[in-house]
Amino acid sequence: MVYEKICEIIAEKMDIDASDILMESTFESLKIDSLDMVEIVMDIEEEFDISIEEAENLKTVADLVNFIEENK
Amino acid sequence: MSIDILGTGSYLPEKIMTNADFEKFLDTSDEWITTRTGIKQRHIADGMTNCEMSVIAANRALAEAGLTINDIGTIIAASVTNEMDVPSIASQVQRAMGASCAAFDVNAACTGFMYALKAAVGFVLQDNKPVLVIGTEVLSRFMDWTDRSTCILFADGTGAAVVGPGDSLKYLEVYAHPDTGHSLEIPGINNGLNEGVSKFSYVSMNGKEIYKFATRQVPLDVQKAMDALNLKPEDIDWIVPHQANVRILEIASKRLGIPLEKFYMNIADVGNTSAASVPIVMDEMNKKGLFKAGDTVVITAFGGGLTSACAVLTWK
Repeated sequence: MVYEKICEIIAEKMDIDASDILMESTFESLKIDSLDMVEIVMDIEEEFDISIEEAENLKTVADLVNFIEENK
Repeated sequence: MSIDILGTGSYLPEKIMTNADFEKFLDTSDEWITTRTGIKQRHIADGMTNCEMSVIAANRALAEAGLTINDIGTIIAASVTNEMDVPSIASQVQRAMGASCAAFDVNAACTGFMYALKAAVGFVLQDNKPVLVIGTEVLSRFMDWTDRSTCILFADGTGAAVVGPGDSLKYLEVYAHPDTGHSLEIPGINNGLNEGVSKFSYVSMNGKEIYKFATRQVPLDVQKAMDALNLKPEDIDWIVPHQANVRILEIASKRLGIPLEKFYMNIADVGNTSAASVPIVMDEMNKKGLFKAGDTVVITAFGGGLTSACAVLTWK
């Protein structure tokens, strides 16, 4: 559920197909730069009502899913 | 009763620094700077003062308005980079132009020109005289040239507008939101906080926090203005935005449903000139003849403070 929502947010923001976003995808491989990441984190914070302080430590989609699962 | 814009003027110093110039002394690249900011080059004052640049911009604005400095009731300058604490830039300009009108400065960081414009409305209406509003910055003096996250962004330049009694300005709201995270600061030279320590003061910025703030605030402020005047996206002819980052404006365009082509940008050539940004853009658009009579023009700005503002005017 968290994973699907993240894929949806990233797909919309980066204008890519959600099915191309895998658990092991790195943000770098998805061409997500630091400013894209700020926006994606903002959308995710709103969606899951959490606060992500150290977004730069998150490198992959799985990192993000795990962070949300642990903190929501 | 409100105000009309009677004339605009600007001045950009001759010396130019390109992204390639930064590659020579910083671990950065034209590609990195361009994709993350939209900036390709910026103008550097190289010894020119805010006052000197302001006099040139002011004379250009006065010429378009068909007025002289003696017709002006008040000079208001917005800046964060006055070379002196006293006198104000406006007073320096007044002295340099041989005027005897009222003069004072405003500091609301990159939103400064909008705050100055709001003050100008009061002066115009109380005195029934035109006001010279200036936005001017020599930010190159406040750059840490080893900090690649800030020194590539900010630049120098001056914009000015002469405003007088009229009815063009339909809406002008200014805001301030506490900067709890100290996201954008110029701590000040010899501010007495560090006894015995004389340290030059640089711009320090948490880019991510400012990016967050701006991408939220610009759409909120513009939407509020549209709601107040019952404007739909298609009713807006131009958005005149503070030039901080192309990506911020791309997001604002998307959120507001207003096509990006309506967001005028000169950031590629000019960089972020803080309080000078909005009047420089306005003058560039005006001189290019982009504004047609009756156009609905929305001006939006944001910056340190954290401050923000939005104005709507019908071009004459």
